[in-house]
Amino acid sequence: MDIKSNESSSLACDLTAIPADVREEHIITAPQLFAAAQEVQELPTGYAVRFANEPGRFMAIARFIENERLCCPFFNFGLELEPNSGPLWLKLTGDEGVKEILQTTLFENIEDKNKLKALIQTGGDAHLDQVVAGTPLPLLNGVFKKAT
Amino acid sequence: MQEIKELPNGWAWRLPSTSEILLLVAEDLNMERLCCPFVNYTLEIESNHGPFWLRMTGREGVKEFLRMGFESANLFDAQVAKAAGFDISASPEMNTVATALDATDKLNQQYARTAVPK
Repeated sequence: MDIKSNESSSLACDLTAIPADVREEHIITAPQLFAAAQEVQELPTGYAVRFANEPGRFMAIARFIENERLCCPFFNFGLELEPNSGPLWLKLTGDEGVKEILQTTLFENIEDKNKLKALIQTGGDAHLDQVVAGTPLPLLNGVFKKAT
Repeated sequence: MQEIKELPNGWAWRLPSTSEILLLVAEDLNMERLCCPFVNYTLEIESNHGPFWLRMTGREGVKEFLRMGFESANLFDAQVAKAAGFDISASPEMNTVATALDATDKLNQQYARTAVPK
């Protein structure tokens, strides 16, 4: 699909696409998941994030993808299990514009509330707005540097 | 299972893009990586609700082991298996633990016979 041919607003996270009963949980658990990241590698169309192959981690990533693919359908997800108990790699990629969204959410402090609202849309749900505003961004929390 | 593609070092499976399938595959891989740690598993979820692709690959011998495994168990749609060149006509249904364990034993023995240098 050529994302460029759509309106740019289509490249925003639409939290309302996630079932209502798990929306808040997704917002809260995503930063917790990325807090366990051990390495990030830049890819031509996105980023690969390495996690230790610890109990529960694989299913946590799978559940993250289950919801994230609904609110951000423009992402391609890759979940790789290296052989012999090697690490897990979560690859987030996409067409034009997707890498920029990843850069913002993974690496940048979003201090502009309006920018945050435009990037992560809640459908006017005031409670969700509060939860999003309290989400620790960037997801990679400054530990990893954005590739230049 | 909707389609099977042969890869240079393994196989790729196209699966329906539903949440149920995603979690089912994840749960299965969570176990599979323990019993077959020599396989490299990659699950790809295409954008815009596209299909899921499960790739199983590995070093020399893994692709053949996987093919034998797929043919030793009647797990797939017959048309999909046939289109990929798998012969599952003589493979048993995996409907009991005993059947699965027996099939695993036979698979390991079959692969050992082909893998041992003459």
